[in-house]
This record gives sequence, structure tokens and C-alpha cells, in this order.
Amino acid sequence: MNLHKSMLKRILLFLIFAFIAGQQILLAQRLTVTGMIKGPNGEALPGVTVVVKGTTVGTSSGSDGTYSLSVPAGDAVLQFSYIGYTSQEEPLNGRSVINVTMTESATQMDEVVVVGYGTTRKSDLTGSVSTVSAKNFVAEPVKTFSQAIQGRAAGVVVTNNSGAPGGIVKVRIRGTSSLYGSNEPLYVVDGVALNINVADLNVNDIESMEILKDASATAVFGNRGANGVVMITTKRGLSEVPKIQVNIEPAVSNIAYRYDLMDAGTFAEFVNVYRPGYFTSQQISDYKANGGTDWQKEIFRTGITQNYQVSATGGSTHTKYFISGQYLDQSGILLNTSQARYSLRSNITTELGKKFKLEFNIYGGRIKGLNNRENGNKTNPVISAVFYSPTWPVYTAYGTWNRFDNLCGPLALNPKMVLEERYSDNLSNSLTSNMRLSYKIIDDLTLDVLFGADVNDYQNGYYENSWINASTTKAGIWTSNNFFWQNSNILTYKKNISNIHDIVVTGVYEQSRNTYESFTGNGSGVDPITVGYHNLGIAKTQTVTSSWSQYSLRSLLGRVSYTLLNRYLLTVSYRADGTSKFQDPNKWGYFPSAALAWKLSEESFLKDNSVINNLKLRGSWGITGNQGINPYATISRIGSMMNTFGLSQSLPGSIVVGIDNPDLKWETTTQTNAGFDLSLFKNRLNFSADYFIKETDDLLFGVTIPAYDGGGKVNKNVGTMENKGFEIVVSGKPVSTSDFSWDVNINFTSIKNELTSLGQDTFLLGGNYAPGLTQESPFCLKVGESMGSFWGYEWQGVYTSAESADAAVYGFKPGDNKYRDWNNDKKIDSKDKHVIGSALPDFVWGFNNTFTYKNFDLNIFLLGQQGNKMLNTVYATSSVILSDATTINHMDGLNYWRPDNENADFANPTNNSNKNEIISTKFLQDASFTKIKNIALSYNLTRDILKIADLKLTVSAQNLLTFTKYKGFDPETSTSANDIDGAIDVGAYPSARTFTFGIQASF
Amino acid sequence: MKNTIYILILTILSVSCNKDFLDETTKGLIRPVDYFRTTADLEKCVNALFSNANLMYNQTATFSFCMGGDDVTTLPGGNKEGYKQFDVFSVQDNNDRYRNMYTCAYGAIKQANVIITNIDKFVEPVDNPALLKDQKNRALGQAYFIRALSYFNLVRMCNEIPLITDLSVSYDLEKSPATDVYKLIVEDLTKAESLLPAKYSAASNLSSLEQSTLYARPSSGSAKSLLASVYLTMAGYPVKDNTKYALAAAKAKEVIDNEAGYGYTLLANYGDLWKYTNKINTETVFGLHYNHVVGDWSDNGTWANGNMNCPLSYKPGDFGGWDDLFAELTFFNEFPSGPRKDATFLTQAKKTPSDPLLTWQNYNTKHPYYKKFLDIPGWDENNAGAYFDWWSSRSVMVIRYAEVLLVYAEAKAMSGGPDALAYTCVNRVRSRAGLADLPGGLSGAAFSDAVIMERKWEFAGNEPNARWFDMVRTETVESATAKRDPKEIPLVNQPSKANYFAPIPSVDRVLNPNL
Repeated sequence: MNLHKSMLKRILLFLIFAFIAGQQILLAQRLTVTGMIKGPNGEALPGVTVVVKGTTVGTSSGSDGTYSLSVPAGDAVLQFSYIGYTSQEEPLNGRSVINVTMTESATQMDEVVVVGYGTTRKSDLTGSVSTVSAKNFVAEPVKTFSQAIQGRAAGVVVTNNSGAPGGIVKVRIRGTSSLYGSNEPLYVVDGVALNINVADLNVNDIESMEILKDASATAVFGNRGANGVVMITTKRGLSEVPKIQVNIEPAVSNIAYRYDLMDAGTFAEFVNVYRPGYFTSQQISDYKANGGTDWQKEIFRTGITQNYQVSATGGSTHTKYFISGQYLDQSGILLNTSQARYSLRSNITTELGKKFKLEFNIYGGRIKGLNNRENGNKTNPVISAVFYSPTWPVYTAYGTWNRFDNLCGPLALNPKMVLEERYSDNLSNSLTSNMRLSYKIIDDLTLDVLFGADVNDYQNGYYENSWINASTTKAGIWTSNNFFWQNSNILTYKKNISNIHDIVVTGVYEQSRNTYESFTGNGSGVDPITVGYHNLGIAKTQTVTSSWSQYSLRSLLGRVSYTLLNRYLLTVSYRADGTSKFQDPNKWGYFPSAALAWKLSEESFLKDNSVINNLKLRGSWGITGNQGINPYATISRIGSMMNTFGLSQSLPGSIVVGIDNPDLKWETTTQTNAGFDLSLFKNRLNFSADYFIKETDDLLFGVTIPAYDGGGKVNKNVGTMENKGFEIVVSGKPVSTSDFSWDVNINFTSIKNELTSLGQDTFLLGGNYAPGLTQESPFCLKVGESMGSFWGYEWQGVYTSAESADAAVYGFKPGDNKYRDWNNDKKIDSKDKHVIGSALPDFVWGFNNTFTYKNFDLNIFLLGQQGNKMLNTVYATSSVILSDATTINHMDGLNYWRPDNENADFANPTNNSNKNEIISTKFLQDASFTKIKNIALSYNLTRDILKIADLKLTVSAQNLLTFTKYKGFDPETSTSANDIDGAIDVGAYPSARTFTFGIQASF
Repeated sequence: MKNTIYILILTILSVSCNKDFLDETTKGLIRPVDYFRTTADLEKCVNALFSNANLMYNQTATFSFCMGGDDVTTLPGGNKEGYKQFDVFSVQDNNDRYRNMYTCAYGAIKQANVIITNIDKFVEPVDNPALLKDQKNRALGQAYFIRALSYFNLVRMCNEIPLITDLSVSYDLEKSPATDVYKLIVEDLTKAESLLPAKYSAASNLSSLEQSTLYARPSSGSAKSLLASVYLTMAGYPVKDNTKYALAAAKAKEVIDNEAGYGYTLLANYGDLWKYTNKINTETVFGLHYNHVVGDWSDNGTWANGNMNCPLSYKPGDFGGWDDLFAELTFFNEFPSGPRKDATFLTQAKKTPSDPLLTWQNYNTKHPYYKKFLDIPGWDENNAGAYFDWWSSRSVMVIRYAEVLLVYAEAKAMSGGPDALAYTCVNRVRSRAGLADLPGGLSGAAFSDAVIMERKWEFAGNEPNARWFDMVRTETVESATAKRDPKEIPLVNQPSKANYFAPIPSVDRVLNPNL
């Protein structure tokens, strides 16, 4: 709390400072110029920057479009600028009132788009690139990169592993194309590959993100391009006028869904149905009178978020700066979980004479999390709170934890106790910095030299007290240090010949190296455990491990972009990539690409069309690679397997891990893309559509070594995979009047994934996430099916009395579950398992609306997924009797088969012959959803009212409503972390419903 | 300025163009070609050998393939499916339980092969050849012993199995017949017998670790005892080589004749065997030892150093146990009463001291449970619901001296008839159990039957010398199962020779179609 106070104090000081600075500017002024700035339709245009040319004197227009500026008398010139509009200059010529009508930039096609190793005009793009800029997510109080991108760009699918503050998120561009290699896109920040977690960045520092999707755009990144590339450009100072912005966003969060569980009386009564006599009638009537424990209520709470954000931009003619700071503190909706983040950024651009330009960006962040990294296992508190008996009190009569209820199963400990007593913190200090020196050698030829360095220090500490670990107290700490550097040298030649030929040639030489070190110390018998992991020397036994790894990349790239008559565009590129991860001759890979585009709207037959103002056809082809596996994947090594011989000490043991496989190489993805861009009615309505086919060969895969040869895996290149899909974006401004406007963006992505070959295999099981609860992995890799396919039984209902003869064939009786006998051998066994669904959605979509009425802004952002399934083990443990969860808690479970309830949803729990298969369509639930991701209403109080600052007040809600058939906490949050293992809910941390209040002040 | 830039660029290019930039640097990583040099390396290989061996014995799943025995049964469903399949003679090769024995036994075999195939590479310390030789011999002897033990488990489980003696990887290997497997086991144990000392404490050039772990090491006596059991098994189904009875008797006799030299005795009280505080005892001919609180999960050996047989696997669900396996009713009813029966079964207990006494007839499963494996610090039958942990540091007696005595008694009876020593051997076991001596003058067959009955009670509850093995080798699975109580889980198949051995688990059959 003290920390929050002192932070507030600092922000206040900053505000005061900013205020005084503003006053000083006022003192230097002599003549007041006022005016009104309007848009093309006569509407007031707020936020337009007005600057006295060649000075730092300036202001911006208020919400009513008016401005007032004191300028030095004489021949001053005012510059008016606003994103998306053509800048204007007006000489004063002695006037004191200057009204201006801004015109929208000829097209938004003239926006500059960042691509690999360069920039281009949007109209000159030949590849498939989506742009998400800050204005697209400014209306939502986003906290992370993934929240900013989700639903806002076609071709991008974001999946949560955990709704915890700082929980892990998967981002996939155009599907998943690798089994064993990474499927994460490559992130490039201001030209340098990012080697800290993208979630560690302050999302508010991001000006725009370009998502490179097709091979023409990504092949320039060679063996790191196959999963798509996200080019992140951070904010920088544009005008010389100092601008300070402060955001304060407090928020409260709550769980949005509760399982419909029985109260203690109903529960106890029902237990007596399947365990006759367990509760006495006295106990039951007591429970009915007094109630029991509502475990969901016990473990969830209202989470509080505080977010403070300050930024300043400005500069002089030659030097511009952007500085920002953030303090974010989030307490999670689950007891005793939280995360805090502190960050600072400084971006400076300066011109050194006429030929040199220098950019220097540095970002430092510190993230501290508490108990926010658990993904869910079969006894974690989120799942156990759902199956724990409501008859079990949280505390004993002595006020101590009521540790273990064996009525509901043999494993799970009191969920509230686990939450309150466990301790695992993580600390991440990140520094990412880069410097770009541009040198204009001659007018058409520029050399850019980039240096980038990322450092991440990570630490995870934990302890287990005797509540958590009854055998011994334990504590440990894991620290790691990652250092990455990159040097890129880019030579760019641009030449326009008589407005007929436009040519850009780019050559790149690049090197990078990543070095990782880790150290762990663990102790058991740490007494007193109150010291946590901070005094491991007192542990009865101690173990220590350390590791070091490194990989290096060296690359050469050439690219030519040629435009003829501003109509016909051609881009070809060729990249050679060397990596240390593979052995000769597989170290070097070669990645070509080519793209063509035709601007039909520049042809004479469309040139002056009153409806169509832009039409472009695009086509591309290229090859990218994926080397996203850990270093040393090609060599066997001595591993550790300690022994104790029963002694209280760990005795080092040596085993041989893996086998040498020098033939291993990168995966290769060949992608073909076709698309078009269409703009109508002076860009009021824009369409964009793409169709693509991605074929991945030489899939990196951990091929199983037979158990008789010692087992384990060896990385090999086996198999092929295909991703096909299309993306549609519709955007526009259907309504635009002086008082009211409506901006809309709809994006739609559909991807079909198919595993087309697995080498020598045709079928493999995936990982098992809740062994014991499930006997086998619910996931499979099957040739002809998609990644994330579920492998299980088809549940066909409950046998009715009329079906007793049929049931008897299988050893079942009426009231037992009925499963489909796929191979018709009159037995239900593992041979009857089939692909019963996929975790991949048929399509995903986002629908973002901003309505502006006078001083009000309303943002409504919906997103959804359709056709994806998730195995809900939480629901299963609470609705049927399993060996690990031996009671029925869910109200749905009461609808079980009885002679007087033939058409029941659940089998009769008293039938010994019944089999409950968790991995069946019974518990594989439709996780399609539509979410109101954000709804925000803002009111703008302009400077002319407040005198000191523009003020924007916002109330908003995130995840306000979810429309889904999924019967669980959150259809979006899955426990599984990799792509083979589709989606399973084993008590994943649910995402919260959040209400945010925001104040933004601009000075 | 311009020059500075040029210099800078040239520097970058020249520095960064060094040729070895893309070489893979391996600072902390040890490659096998650079290892296996010193006795210290060797000792670490042996440490991991025993961790691998631990994995064959630290959970009830590994011996789930013995659930066909008439002494044990399980729950009818849920996560006990893998156990139940053996209990009702309907085994599928994707059963998730017995595959643990398969993978862990081959894991131990691989580690033994690492030692055996690399043994000549250990050349340091060069200045102490005597020490080098002694330590290499003992390491090799232990490797052969563990390899034989692992194959013995595998061959009794699946009968025909892949026979691996090197470190190559093959996806098309054929299964070897049981006779070939037994041939290797006998060879390995014969080598182990000569390489291992009779008494570790008297061996020369012991490392300090060996000195502090003498109790955990197999001796030549352990090797002989195991070999005697192997011979006895070979005399029965499926090898059925009658000549092996004499070899079994002779090998067991070598141990018994020198029992003082090896330091083997029967503990006076059967119940004392199962006390946690007697983890290390003189009846253990070979044991495996665990400490579950030492490791951290980053190490492969952590799981191998805990024992999940105890405290929950054998405990009734009524007290928070897992009900993995418990006694069959017929078996319990026929079990001769006495101190051995009292020490074997948990027939009643209280969940907490204030709860009423719950007798087995009122357990949820209505079956008696095995008490032998329940004792850990804090275990109390009057507070049986107290939770300690899901695993423990109990030791596992892989070979008990009682087994050696009974191997001799049976093998002698089947190779020339019982002699006085045979009577002494079986009666030592019987008298401890509170039973009268066997009557004199029994025929070889009758005496042998009596000994097999003795083994049945003595090793009840899936001890490593499981009842199931006797049922298979004496071809009595069918007759023993015929006495199954109707209240047990109904049999899916009536047992026949087809159920004597488990199929090779699907994990390898999908990789190698020749299996």
C-alpha cells in the first residue's frame, strides 16, 4: 500500500512539474491566434496539432475543434497536422484568426507500413500484412501485447493458457505449422528481433504492429519466418511541442462464471444414494439447516488493478524524444495471486548533420508475480474447489486448516489451504535496447546499421511449508540470465526513373547470438520454513544445478522491389541463413520469395471511377524456415539421475540422454498467397481478402525411441503439414457527420489444418494432462486430421430400459453409459476410440466499433471463435464418480438414470457395471464463444474548459458477457500449453470480468 | 564523422566474419565420448543404475501384471482399469499400468549396458590399478546383477521379449524366445557371482560411498539367491527344464551353507519385517532403498527415490487410500491364522481415534487389505485417516532370505526328494508363522506342493516374489482361479495359457511391427 501511495505522490509531482513547464511556455508568448479546425464534412476536429513552424510553441485543438495559441508576432507560419490527414501550413500574415479545413490524406494507402528491413507505402505492398495501430486498441484498457492484438488482425489467433495476471498466452499467425518446433511468431521491435518475452513489454509504448503473414513478407526472415512475424514499432516524438499524458486506470475484476453446485444438504442426501448410510439423517438435516462450504466462494475474490501510465514527447528541430513510465499492480481473482509491473522507456531520435540520423531506444521492465504461473493439474485449487465436498469445513474446530477430505477423492488437499499456504514467486527484469544509425551515402543510397541487445534476468522462488508438503519442508530458487545481441547492416537503394520505373534494392548482412545461463538451488528440510528460499544453507539436504547454452545465426539477404507505372509491382527476395543449431552441411538454409501485385485502380478504365478508388490484386510465393528448437538438439549428452540409497543426501548419477542425429535440419514452409484490396467511396469502405496455402515439410519431431532401447525421443525431420485458409477484413466509416461518426472493423479468419504425413507413423498419442483422471492422452496426431484432435469415445447417451438387451451384449445394463462400438466387436475398449473433435476453431472473428458523438466516444469490441472443442475435466470431476473425484457435486448430476427417469443425462451412479469415460463426447464440450471483450464509454473534457489539460474520462468493462455452450469457467482458457495437445480444462486459471475507470490527462 | 562510421562498419564486418561463429559451443554439456574415464564417473553410472532399478519397484503399477494372482484384487473401474484387466484376464496392450515395468526394466537394462559396454574405457586412476580393478569388477558385477533382475521381471511378464545387450537403436528387432533370455540371465548372474564380494564390508578398495551404502549392494550371495530362483522358474512353465531343479537346489544351498558368512537370517517375528524402522534388516538378501524428501523435480532421479507403494496404494479408500490392491476373499479365508496372518492383513482400523472401529466387512470394498506395506512414521491403525503424503521412503525387499530357504526346499524335493535340510528350511519359515512343522516322510511332489503353499502365504500381496509367478510356473492359474469368490469382480475370460503372459505393450508395438 505504501508503494501505491508513493507512486501516486510521484505522479502528482510530475503533474505539477508539467504544469509549471506549461506556464513557462505561456510566459514567452506575445500574440494570440485562435481558430476553428474542421474536417472534410465540416465536423469539428479535435486533437489536431498546431505548431509554430521552427519552434516548440504549439497546442492542439479541443473537442470543439477550436484552438488558441500565443505566437511571436511577425511572419510566423502555423503547421496543422493530424494522423490520417494531409498536413497544412498557414502563414500568419498578421492575422489573429485562422480557420482551417483539413483534408484526409489522399488515401490511407499512403500510410507508411513497416516491413522486414525497410518500410513501404501501404499502396505498394505486395505481401499480406495486417496493421494494428495504437488507435485500434486505445479504447480498451489493454495490459498486454496479446490483448492488443487479439481479434484486431485477420490471421491471428490468440489463446490463453491462464487468466492469471501475467498468465501465459499463445499467439498463432496463420495456424500452427510445427509439431515440435516453436509455433510462436518472430517478434521484431524497431528492427531487432525480440528475445525477451513480448508480454514483458509495456503495450502502451507500442505505436503500431505490422503482422507479416505471407511468404513474400516473411521470407526475408529466413529460418525464423515460418510462423509469421510481428513488427512492433514503438512510439517516438513527432512534434517539437512537449506533450505529457497521464493515465490512471483503477479496475476491479471478478469471476464471470460459477459452476452450479449442490448445497451441502442436497449433496449429503445424494451421497447416501451411491454410498448408502454415509451421512446420518441428523447430519443431513443439519446441513440443510446450516448449509456447508461454498468452495468457489472461498477461493475467488475481487481482484484490484491499479495502472498508472505517464508519457512525454517533444524535442527540438533535430532531436525528438518519447519517454514513458508505467506502474501496474494487479491482484488476481484467485486468492493470493498477483502481479506487478514497473517499466520505463526512452526513445530518442536525432539528426546528426544532413547525412546521419541516429535512433536510440531503451526499455527496462520489472515484473513481479506471485502464484500466477500454475497452469492447472488434477488437484489444483480451481478444479478441487469444484469437486470438494460442501460438507467439508474449511477449518477444524481448532481454527486450523481442515487439510484433507477423503470423501471427495484420495488426492486433493483443501483448496483454500493450498491457495493460502503455497508460495511461488517470479521476478523478471528485462532490458531491451537498440540503436539505429542511418547514413545517407548518396541521395538514393542509405546504409542502416543496427545494434540491438536484450537482457532478461529471471528468477523463480518457491517454498512448501508443512501444509503443502507433509513429508518435508522444501524451498528452492531458479535463476536464469539470457543475453541476446543482433547486428544488422542494411543497404537500401531507391531510384525513381521518370515516374515510370520505381526500384528499391535492399541488401542485408546480419548476425545474432543468444546465450542463456541458469542456476537452481533447492533444499528440503528447510526449518523454519519462514525463511522461504532466502536461506537455503539451513536446509537438511541441498541440491544445485546449473546450465549454459548458446546459439548463433548469420544471415545474408537480397531483395528487389520494382514498380512499373505505379501499376505493376514485383518483389523478389532471397535469404541465406546459417545457424549453429544444426551440423554441417545442414547449417545453411536458403529461402526465396516472389510477389506480384497489380493496381487495377491505376489503370485508365478505373482511374477516375467514382465508386472504386483503390483496387489491387496480389499474389505471392515463398519459402520460410523454422529452426525453433533448443540448441544441442543434434547431440546426445550425459544427464543426471541422482540416487540416495535411502540416505538423506542426493548422490549424483549419470545416464546417457538421447542419441546423436547430425542429419537434423530446419523445417521448411512453402506458402502461396492470393488476395486483393478494395476501397470504395473515398476509402469510406475498405475490403481486403487473402487466401493462402502453407505446406510445411521436414517437420521437426521428437521421434520415440523404443522403450526396449531405453526410450526417450530423438529429434528428426519427419512428416508434412498443411494450413489452408482465408482472411477477410472489412473496415470503414459508415457514418461521418459533424457530430456523429461510426468507425467499424470486422475481421474474419478461417484456417484448416491437416497433418498430411508423420513419416513412419500414422498415429501418435499426445500428452496426458491429468494422469489418473484420464488413462491416456486425450490428444492425438493422426494423418489426415488436424493438430489438436481429440482421441476418445463417442458417448451415445444412457441405456434405457428398452435397450437392456443391447446393453447386455456389452456387459452393461439400463442406466449405464452407452458408447459407440466403432469396430462392432461387441466390446467397448480402446479400439473404439476415434477422433471426436478438434481444439482448432473453424473460424475466429473480431468486430470493433467506435461511435463518436460530440464529446462522447463509445467502443464496443466483440470477438469470437466457432467450432472449437475443449475437454472439460472440471465438469467431469464434479458430475460423475471417478477414482480421483469420488463424489457428485454438480446439480446436473442429479439428472441421472432411474426407472422413473429414463431419458437422463447421466448414468446411474449406483450401477457397478457402468463405465465413465472422461475422454468422450460426454465431456468434450463446444467451446465456441462470442465475447463482449470491451465496452467503453468516454467523455472528453477539453482544455478550453479545464484550462490546464485535456481530460478524458472512461468507464469500461472487459469480458462483460460471454455467450457460449461451454459449461465451465472460461471457454478461452486451456491448461495445455502446446499445439499438439489441443484444449483441456484441468482447472485453468479463468479469465476475469473487469470493470475499469480511466482518467487520461493530456498537457 | 564519416571516417568514424567507415571504421565502425569495417570493424563490425571483420570481427563478425570469424569462421567459427556458427560452431556449436557446449560449455556445460558433457558428451558421452568425453565421459566414462574415471572411477568417479563409474560410481555415478552405478548410482543411476540403482535409481533405474528403484523404478521397477516403487509403485504398484509395475507389478500390476501379477494381479491375476489369487491373493490380490482391485476396484472394478476408474483408474484401476489397468490392474483390473489382469485380475479378470482381459489384458489390452495399451494398459497404462504394466507398461511401467516394461519401460523401467528396459531403462535399468540400458543403464547396465552403458556400464558393461563402456567398462574398458574407465582407466583412471592410472596410478592405482588395484583400486581401479576392484571398483570396476564390483560395478560390472552390479550391472550384470541388475540386468539379470530386470530381464527376469520382463521374461516372466511377457515371455518373448527383445533382448538388448548393446546401445544401438533398432526399429525392426525381433522378439527373442524365453530360452534365450534365460540363457543371458544365467550368464549374467554367473558373472555377477564371481565379480561381487561375498560381504561388501570385507571387500577391498571400497569408495567412501560404497562404505556408507553396504546394505544396499548386491553381494555374490544376492546373485546366487537370484540365480537359484531363476533356475527354479526355468524348471517350471514355460521352459520346463527339469534339470534346473538340481541347479536351483545347489545354488540355494551354497547360500544357506554359508548364511553366517553372507549375514542372512530370518527375523524372529514376521511382523517385524514390515516395520518402517526395520528398513535395513538381515533377512533382506537384496533390497532397494528410497528417500523421497531429498530430490527436486528437475532431476531424473527424484521420482526414482520415492516409494509410492506406501502409504496410499494399499490403504482402504475409507481412510483416504487408493484401493490399488487388496486381498481376495478366498485367499484371506484360507490363510492359516497366526502371527503371520495378523501381520499381513489390515482387517480393522479407525479413521480417527474418535471414529468407530471399522472392520473390513464394512469397508467400502468389503475386502480385507494388506497391512504389510502401510507402516511409515506416524502410521497408526487408530488414526488411519491421517494424511502424511502420497509417497514415502519405505524400502523394498526384492529378495528375502525366506525365499532362498523355500527355493531350496522345493527344488530339492523335485530333484531327489526332500532331505533334512529341505525340512529345516521350510519349517524355519513355518514356525515363525506359528505353524507346525511339516510331517516327515512326504513324497517329493507332496512336499513341493506344501512349500508352494508356504510361499503363497509368506509372499502374499504382490511382494516382488509374487504369488502369480508360482501360479504360472506350476501351471495352476486355472485351478487357483476356480476357487475365486463369486463376490469378486466377475471374470471377463476364464484363464488359460493365453493369459499367462502379457503382450508386449503397445508403446513399442506401434514403433516396431515385428513385436
